[in-house]
Amino acid sequence: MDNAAAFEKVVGIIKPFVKNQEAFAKPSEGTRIIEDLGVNSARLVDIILAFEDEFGIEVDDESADKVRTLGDAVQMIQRKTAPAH
Amino acid sequence: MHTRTWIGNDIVDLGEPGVAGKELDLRFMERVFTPEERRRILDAAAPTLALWRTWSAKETAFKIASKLREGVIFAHRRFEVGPDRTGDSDGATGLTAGNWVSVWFEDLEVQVRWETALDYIHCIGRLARRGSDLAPIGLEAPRGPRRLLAGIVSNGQGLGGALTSAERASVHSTASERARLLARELMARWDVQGAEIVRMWRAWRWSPPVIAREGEPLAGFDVSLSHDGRFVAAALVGPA
Repeated sequence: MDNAAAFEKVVGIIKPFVKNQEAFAKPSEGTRIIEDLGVNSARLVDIILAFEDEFGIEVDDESADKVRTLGDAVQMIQRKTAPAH
Repeated sequence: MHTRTWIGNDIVDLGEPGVAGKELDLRFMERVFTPEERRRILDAAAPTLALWRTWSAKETAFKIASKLREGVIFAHRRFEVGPDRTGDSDGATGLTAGNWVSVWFEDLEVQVRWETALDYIHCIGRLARRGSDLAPIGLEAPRGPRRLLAGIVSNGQGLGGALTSAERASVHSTASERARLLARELMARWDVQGAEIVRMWRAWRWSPPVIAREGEPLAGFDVSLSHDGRFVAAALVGPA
């Protein structure tokens, strides 16, 4: 999956949890999920679980904790879905 | 010997989407809570309240641990909440505040208590013990009596005052601004000239908010801010 496709999927997953629609109107890789989009920490757990379902991955606590921005989420998903060599 | 009293707080808006009936979300339950916590939540007469009380306790303890340790991650199950014997979780018919309940993380013990209202849960916590300490660290030690203040305001309630430019630098939303205004209101009870609520750059990231003067944390004080949905909350500790 290319970055653009992953980004689009991430945006779609996060959309129902967003409080600040204004900030979500122009999402970028640098958009912060909690601070900019107003997602609370409990909903962030829901988002991580949704990533697991959507991409068929397992997200450990350490990886989940590093997801601060939309770009972090995309990178984490790309790492975990990359074919093993 | 400790030179500070460390506190944390967390507020949960019970009217937020995704709050009601969360105990039925088994994957969330398993990700966040230990088997013992899950058992207590599901056995409670009001499982949803029990769940969010336990959640807020973990958040509160995490905030304190983050002040003390480098690189703490919010791995929810590693913050283990002890049993609440006050019975508050069995009803939500009014404002209640119970006894202190322990939360353990590594060698830290944080004590928390909750204020439970019809539309929110507010948790306040204080560092009670570190592994190397033989004696518990209460609000009474080690620098004389401490005074703990906490406040909650909802969206419709006005807050006066203004933030300094250093305080505004940490603001990322209306809620975070209101939490700081509330904390400033509470801080005024101590009449500390020049004190500000700011975040400071540490080697690895920005610190949680601290009370500082001229860029240095003010000894004997600590602050914790939180917001969720309609509510913002603040807790401060300082000299009695």
